[in-house]
Amino acid sequence: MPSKLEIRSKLWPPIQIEDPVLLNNFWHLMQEIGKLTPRSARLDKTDYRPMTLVASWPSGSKKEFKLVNRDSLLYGSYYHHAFLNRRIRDLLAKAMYNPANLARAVLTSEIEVVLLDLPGVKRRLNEEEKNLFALGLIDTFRVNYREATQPCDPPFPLYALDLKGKGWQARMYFAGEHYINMDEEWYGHTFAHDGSLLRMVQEWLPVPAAKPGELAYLYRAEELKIVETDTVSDLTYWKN
Amino acid sequence: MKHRVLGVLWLVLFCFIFTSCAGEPRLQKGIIPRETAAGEPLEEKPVLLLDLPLGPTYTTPGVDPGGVSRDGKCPTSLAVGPDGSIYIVDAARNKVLVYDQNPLTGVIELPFIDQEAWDLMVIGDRLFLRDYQFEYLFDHQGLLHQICGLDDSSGFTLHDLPSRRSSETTYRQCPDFNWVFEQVTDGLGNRYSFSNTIIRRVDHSGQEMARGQLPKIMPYSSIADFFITPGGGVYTLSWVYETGNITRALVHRVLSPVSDSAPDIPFLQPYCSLRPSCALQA
Repeated sequence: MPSKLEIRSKLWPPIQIEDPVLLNNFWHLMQEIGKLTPRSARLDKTDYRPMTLVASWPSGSKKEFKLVNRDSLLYGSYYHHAFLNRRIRDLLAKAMYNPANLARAVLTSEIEVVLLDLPGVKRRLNEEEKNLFALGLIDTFRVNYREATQPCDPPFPLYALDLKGKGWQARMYFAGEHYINMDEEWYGHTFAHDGSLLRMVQEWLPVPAAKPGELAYLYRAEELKIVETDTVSDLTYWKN
Repeated sequence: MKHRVLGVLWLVLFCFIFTSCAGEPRLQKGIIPRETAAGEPLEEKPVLLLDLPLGPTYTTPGVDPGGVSRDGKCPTSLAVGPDGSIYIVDAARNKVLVYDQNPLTGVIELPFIDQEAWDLMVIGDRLFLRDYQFEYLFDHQGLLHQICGLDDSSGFTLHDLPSRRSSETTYRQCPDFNWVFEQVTDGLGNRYSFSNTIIRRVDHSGQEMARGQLPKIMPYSSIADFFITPGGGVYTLSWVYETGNITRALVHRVLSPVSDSAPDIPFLQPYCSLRPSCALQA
């Protein structure tokens, strides 16, 4: 079992894992992957959040692996297994997005709040705001992605935080009032908060004034309903 | 004066009984029932062991900080250890919560996030969980020890085992959403059958030994999971619904164990030997 694992990615600051439980579980999954029949050709040419993993042993020896796409790992050959590779990503996410690392990433990066539904509407956070947001992240906790807002009902308007550091950039998506997702596909790495983080970004970047007929006008409404001939559908639940 | 003293004593007694029955969740250890008259099955009523409001802390599983977790995000599975400790999978937070005489005695982190964490079992000092396809063993520190079912050809699966879990293939769901189980056994060879409101224990000769009522909680509840210990104790995990949401998780003992020294899953090893790399290490 390695004594240290380094994660290098363009999606997050470099992380070093030394927690023995995480390392044991990572290595257990890698040993299971080692039992698979390697594939000579890549199955999916679309890189999905690629990551380089460097495992180190006390003797000084090192091995380098690459998580190529959601289901494949590269170590000389390609090893394809949805269950194992996704569990490895889970383990890595546990280390990458723990509260301390989230706060550290916020404090050491340039951050913009963006309203994804309104292109061009964004605002850069100052140091005081970054400190406040980082403080709020300390109380977050990871949840099963089934807990989070489901893909069929993303909230609107969509708020996100764009983080940019040295050699990496990431986006945090707000989902509903209590969740933040690190994955644009809505079922990735999700953590819960007490609602204060969304209220902060809404205060820092309110929906701009708009005229009736403009999209932003809908987002400023207290209630939102679709009125049809016989029915009224209330969409307020999905409003951020 | 005497009546006033008696009144105060009754009040104190009432308060004592009331406070000991309400408030913090608590657990009563299993009691082996007395023998019944020949030919008559023992009848038992459900005993509430844990009453957990859902919420945002470890002692209140389920995580929606704004209120209450909904379907599928609640405690999904329970197991009872050899020492009587109750283990509950808090699927929302990816943890196993351990309850004993005190409300909460342990929090075990699951090795990884699981879409479907079901069929919790306690095997020695290890825990067993099943995803929709895969099974794995881990310990109280969250260390992963074994994964099985990674290919279709081998590995142990619950379907191979004499089942004492709700996922056994012999169950079917009734129109009123109660489960019916058949051919479920404990470590002593007793069989169990579940109908809408009753669970029956039948010995190897076919004689009905005991029957227990399944809990029915108002206004509406459903049973999320069952667990039968090797010694024959039967436990249920229920969800209580209020205004359409699940607000509490309850654990009941519906049949007391007949033995506290039954062998603990002696039948696992032969099934694991199908695949050497997957031999059970518990």
